[in-house]
Amino acid sequence: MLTTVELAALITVILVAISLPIAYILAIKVKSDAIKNLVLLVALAPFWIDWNIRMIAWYPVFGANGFLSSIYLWILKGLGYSNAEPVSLLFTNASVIITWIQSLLLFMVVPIYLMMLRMDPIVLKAASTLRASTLKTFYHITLKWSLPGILIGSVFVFSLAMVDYATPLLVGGGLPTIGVIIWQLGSYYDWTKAMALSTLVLAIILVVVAITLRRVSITRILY
Amino acid sequence: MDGPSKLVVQGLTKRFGKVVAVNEVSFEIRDGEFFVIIGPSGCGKTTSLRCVAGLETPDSGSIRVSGSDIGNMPVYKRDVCIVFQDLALFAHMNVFDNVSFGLRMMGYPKDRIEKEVNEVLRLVRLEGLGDRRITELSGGQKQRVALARSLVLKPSILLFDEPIGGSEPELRDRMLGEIKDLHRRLGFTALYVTHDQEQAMRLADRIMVMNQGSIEQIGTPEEVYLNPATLFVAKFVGDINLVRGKVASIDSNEKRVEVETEVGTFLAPIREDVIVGEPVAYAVRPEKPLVGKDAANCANKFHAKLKDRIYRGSNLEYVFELPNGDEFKVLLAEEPATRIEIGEEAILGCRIEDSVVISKSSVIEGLDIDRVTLGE
Amino acid sequence: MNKSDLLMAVYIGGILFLVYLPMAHMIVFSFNTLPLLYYPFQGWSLRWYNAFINDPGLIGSLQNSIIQAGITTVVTVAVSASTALALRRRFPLHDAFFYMILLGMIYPGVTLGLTNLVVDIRVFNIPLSIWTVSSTLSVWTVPFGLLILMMRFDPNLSRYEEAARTHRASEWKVFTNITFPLIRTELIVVALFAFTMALGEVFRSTFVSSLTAPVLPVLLLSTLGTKPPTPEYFALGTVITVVSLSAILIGGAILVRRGGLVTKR
Repeated sequence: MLTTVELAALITVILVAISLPIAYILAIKVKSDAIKNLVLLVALAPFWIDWNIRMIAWYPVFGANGFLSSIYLWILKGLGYSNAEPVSLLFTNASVIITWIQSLLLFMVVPIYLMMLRMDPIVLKAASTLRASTLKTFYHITLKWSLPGILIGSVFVFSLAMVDYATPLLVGGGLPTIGVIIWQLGSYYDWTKAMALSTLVLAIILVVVAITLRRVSITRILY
Repeated sequence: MDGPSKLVVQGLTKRFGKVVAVNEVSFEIRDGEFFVIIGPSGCGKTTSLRCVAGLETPDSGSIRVSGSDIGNMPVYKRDVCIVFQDLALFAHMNVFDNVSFGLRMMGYPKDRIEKEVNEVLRLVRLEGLGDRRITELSGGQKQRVALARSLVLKPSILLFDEPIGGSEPELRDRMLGEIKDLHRRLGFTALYVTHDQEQAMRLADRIMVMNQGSIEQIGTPEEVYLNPATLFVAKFVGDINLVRGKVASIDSNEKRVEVETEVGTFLAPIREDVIVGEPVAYAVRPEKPLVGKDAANCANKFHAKLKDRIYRGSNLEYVFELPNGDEFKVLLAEEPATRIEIGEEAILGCRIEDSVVISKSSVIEGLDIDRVTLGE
Repeated sequence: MNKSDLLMAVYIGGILFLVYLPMAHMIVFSFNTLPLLYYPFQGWSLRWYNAFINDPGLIGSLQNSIIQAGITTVVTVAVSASTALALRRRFPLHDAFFYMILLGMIYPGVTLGLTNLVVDIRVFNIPLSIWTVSSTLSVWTVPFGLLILMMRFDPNLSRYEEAARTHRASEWKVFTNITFPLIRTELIVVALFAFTMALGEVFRSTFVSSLTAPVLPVLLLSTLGTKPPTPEYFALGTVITVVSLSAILIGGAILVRRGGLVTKR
């Protein structure tokens, strides 16, 4: 059973890995502005939809008789395991992580995407004339350039994951993350304990943010 | 041009943090005069202009327009207009709306606005283009819209913040001509800021040379060119040949100064503020020296070796080297009668009246004149 | 289309598939004949749409949500616009001010909700209502609005304002003639984003929402946490999804027509 911090850290790392290619493809590989914007919009749109409803929308996917399970069974049956059992991903760590991928993706992609957009593609061409392979170019130039975006995205994702209580509650079956505990305390009117815990969480997040933002100047990025 | 003062700036000072951008600057502009402030970037010329406009608040000093102090007036109440460097035309409006903007802000009736705008559009040869979008205009047309927008308001002083630059030389040339022409016809008072010495010389009735917040010299283009007050002015406005030396003697009767240098002793017209023994520079503009036979009749002679010869179409530039290693440039309209080859020795002559003696490096204390980047 | 392009398209497509998977299920199952949320799909029926329309608690809270989102939007647009405009010039504590506003975005929702609850009830004695929800959510939405505006501001704006000032325009006239027309579309976008964010927000609303007249997400959280969900909520979800998606797509289309999601530098 992963602790809240470990869970939040895990999703952060996963999202960095997933978002980098997305941001890279959108910012640099896609030439047409229209496609860039369209893909971003389409990917962004679900984010603005009611959190709860999105949570329960995962039920038919994760559930014992749901989408994933059916596919799993179908594959197994095709391979010859006729007495395979339906599998439910609901109420596990995995479902929380997957749900988080969907809900927090935007927070990681957008900062990285913004940073990559500011890079003049000429720089990449220049690197290639200086004997840098695509991979090396990516590592030395693109990655270093978008580092502020990665850091900011991580701060967003980490802090949001730390305090999210709807996801662990509805999809994780009451996974006792800090967010959940605070919420429960809150709904039982045990406010002092809830405040104390949330102050602790706030402190942790502020420390993380402070460390991150020391190396990055947001106003430089934006203006 | 001798008229009442339109603009009187006294003791203008403006600091940005620790940097003193404008340092106790005082000058006057007469009614109908075209006054140009020139200097390298960072010299305070733009800041001074912005203070007059009200876009910056000076830390001290007074600004009077037609006698009244406008120091406390908000920008929109001042009777000035600025033509900006990047023109700052309202891209979301068409030509007519741009030009009529000021009049609309002042609440003039529609028919009056229409009349005045059409008149001014005719003046800048943009008639009939009222409903064009700004984005559809050429560079030159855009510049004229910017001019029209300010002209239509008939301000007491028209301010120009390096409006020409970054366009092709031909376009620049045409714009300069238009501005000069408009000034001649309309007689407005102008304060024009630029770093380009050529623009300044062409447009100005009087020039003010600024450097690091202070005034180096104020004078007509002729005065500034032929009688630079400091080495800074001499180098910034046009090219100049300098030979360093000392004042050997001063002849008050003949009104001459004798300068002793490594490569000879030369005579120049007298200058009030020099004393014997003072380190000075003997200076002469490159188009003044004579080469070959004509050189023989000059009071000041140089022995020099030809280092380089640059053909420029309209003129020839001969780059000589003096015995002490100093460079000496001579601009000739055509080849001299006896052609000089590179490496050959020749005698150059300068008349006394073409020479200048300069005692001060710059108004700025401790400025190393040789390391200053002049112009852009 | 060569191999690497195909690969990239597949990757992006895969991500989009993941993101839309639950949504697709929700829409389909909202028409399910039986109150089941898992496979197999039984058949097409509108009973759940009927159910939620006739559920006064649900509809009431939806109404509350919409009103609250409207208030939040107005506040957000006003505050983020004035802040974005003000932040263009340096002033003492400029950075500190900026970070402080940004704090609203990363501040854990739980904590914000809780502290606002305590402050409202204990300190100011304000009963919980739509207004307390709006004020709390605005703290969260304003930084988003601010960032959007900062990203999209025309860098020429200050030049135009200066030009206007030197051509007889007073500060107010500068705003109405120059500033506002040039940021108008960005403000619409901020309004759309703020509205949809406020509509679906649950973490903070839970704490500061009145118990008798809760906002929709709060109601959902309490009911869904206790009893198994029925497709009724899917029906509701589908309706909200359709409305939100259209709002976003309209906002996005405006942005795209005006020159892209983010101004290139």
